[in-house]
Amino acid sequence: MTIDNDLTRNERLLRDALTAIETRISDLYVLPKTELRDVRVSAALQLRAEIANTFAREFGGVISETVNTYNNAARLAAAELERVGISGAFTQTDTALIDAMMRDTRFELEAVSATTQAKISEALYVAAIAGTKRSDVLQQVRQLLVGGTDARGLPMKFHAETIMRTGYMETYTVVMLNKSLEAGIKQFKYSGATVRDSRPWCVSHVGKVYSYEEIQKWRESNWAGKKSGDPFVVRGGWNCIHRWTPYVGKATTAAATPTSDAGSPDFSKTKFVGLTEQQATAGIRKMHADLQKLAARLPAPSLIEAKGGMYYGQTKRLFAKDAPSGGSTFLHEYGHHLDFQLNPEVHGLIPASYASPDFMAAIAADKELNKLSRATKIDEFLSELYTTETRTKIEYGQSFEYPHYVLRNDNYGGISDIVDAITGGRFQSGKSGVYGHGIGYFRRDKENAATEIFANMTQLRATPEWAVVEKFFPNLAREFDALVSKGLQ
Amino acid sequence: MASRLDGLGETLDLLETIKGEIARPELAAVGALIVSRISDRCDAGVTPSGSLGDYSKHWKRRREKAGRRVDVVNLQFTGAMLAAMTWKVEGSRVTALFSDQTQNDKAAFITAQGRNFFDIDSTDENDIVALIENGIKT
Repeated sequence: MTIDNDLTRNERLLRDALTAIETRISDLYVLPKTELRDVRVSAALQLRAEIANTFAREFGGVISETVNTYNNAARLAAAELERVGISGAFTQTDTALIDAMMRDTRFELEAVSATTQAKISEALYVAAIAGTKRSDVLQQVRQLLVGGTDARGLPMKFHAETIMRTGYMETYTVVMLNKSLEAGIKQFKYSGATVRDSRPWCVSHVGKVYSYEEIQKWRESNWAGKKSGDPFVVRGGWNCIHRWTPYVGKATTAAATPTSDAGSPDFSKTKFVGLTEQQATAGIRKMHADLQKLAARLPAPSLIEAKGGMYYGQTKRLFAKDAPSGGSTFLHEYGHHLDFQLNPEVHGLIPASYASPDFMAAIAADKELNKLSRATKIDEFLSELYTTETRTKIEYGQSFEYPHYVLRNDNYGGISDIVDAITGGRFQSGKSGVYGHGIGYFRRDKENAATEIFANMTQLRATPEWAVVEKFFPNLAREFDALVSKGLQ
Repeated sequence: MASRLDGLGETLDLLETIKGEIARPELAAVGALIVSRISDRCDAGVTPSGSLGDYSKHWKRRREKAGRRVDVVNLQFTGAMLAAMTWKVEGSRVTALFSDQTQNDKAAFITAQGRNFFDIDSTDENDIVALIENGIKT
């Protein structure tokens, strides 16, 4: 019996339970074929009790089995602790900790079950009102239970797996705490790999050393995904892959970002394709003075190539067709580079703009300020940034006229992209000639809005159009400058 | 600390005294040091004898899809293996190990691949000696 075997077994039980629930709902969901909405709705409401019974019967059993696995984990851990030199009989504290973890797990799984039941009942009710096709309704139910390829809301399966996996990681930290106290260790380093989904909280603490007392003060802070409990054990929260390692030595803060007195980036290790180092340096000189200093301070790209327009954070490769002339694409892509390099501890995985709660809040604030959720306001911005000309296209042998948008000013392209990012792609959607990245791009990765805004602001910062940015997006302008200032400290 | 080499017997007695004086907390601290050094090296993608190498093309794709680093081999996907590293003290012996068999098996597999991450270097050895020397009381 091993922990991995338990996890695998629990996941199988969970899958089987969710399949059974889905099958039962499919059998139950047979609404009367009638045009009368009231009759359909009444039938859907009667299903609620049946759905609740189904969940209790199928998932309730899984909850019990899963929670009982913690007993196994406790027995396994006791045997393992014996092997590593801790008394096999748990101390009172450890037993209480495991009991608390079991209670938490049961509570969390029951909460997930209740929430999913409510969502399914609501979906059936709405479908009954709207007269939605049965196959579409059952697809929705499947989405809520197990998730599909385009899950917007996280399905029940994901939540339940998260709860189980998190519990196992926490048992390892209990062991570490025990051993460290025995060794008289008083300081711990927050270690582990930063990944794309790492919380900003974890990113800001990884690599730093804290006393056990300082770690306990984490209880006073709040962050997304935080889990209740001893911060030493729960760390960043659900699914956190970071760990506390004992620190045998003096506490130091994380290494400061290396500073450089050079006025331009150190391109000595940069490969240039289609341009020279001198041309790249001349392009950097077109940036705002603070951004030039930041570029000089941060690592340079590993590659700058004069083609297309793209940047890869982890490998620091920059592509810009107008790199030889230091054009707007080069400045935009270099803005991405600065954004990804501002937090060296994340190794190009997470842009500073996205990791900054203030920057993210500023996006929402400026969207609200400009009422950009309204189509009329989007049209106003279109008029501000673009003129229109009528163009003609031939489709299916017929001639169609459509409006094509032309920028009033070349630098307005960056502003257009900012508006498109704030509106999640709606600004550009379906409009010929409008600068932006479109709905699909912003849906694909939740950090894309922040990164595009940062990159556009980098390009615009030294231009007269910065006044337009400050006028319409004062919160973002402030937070952009704040991120740059912080990078220069 | 000083000893007069009046005879081998006395020297051996002194050495036994020193061994007895090495308290359990000092040895536990040695265990903690070993684990912390291995942990730091894995985070940096190195071993005492060099780099941890590179990922295979297939595994690199999987890691990229899951949002894990691919520019350095850090032996972390869920973080469970390194989180399970610990140590135990038995008499005057300190052993670094994993707190459960599953993670132990993972580590054994990785080591069998030639990635000798579970090891210490000469700097670690010197620091361990210093740790013990600081703890010896005569």
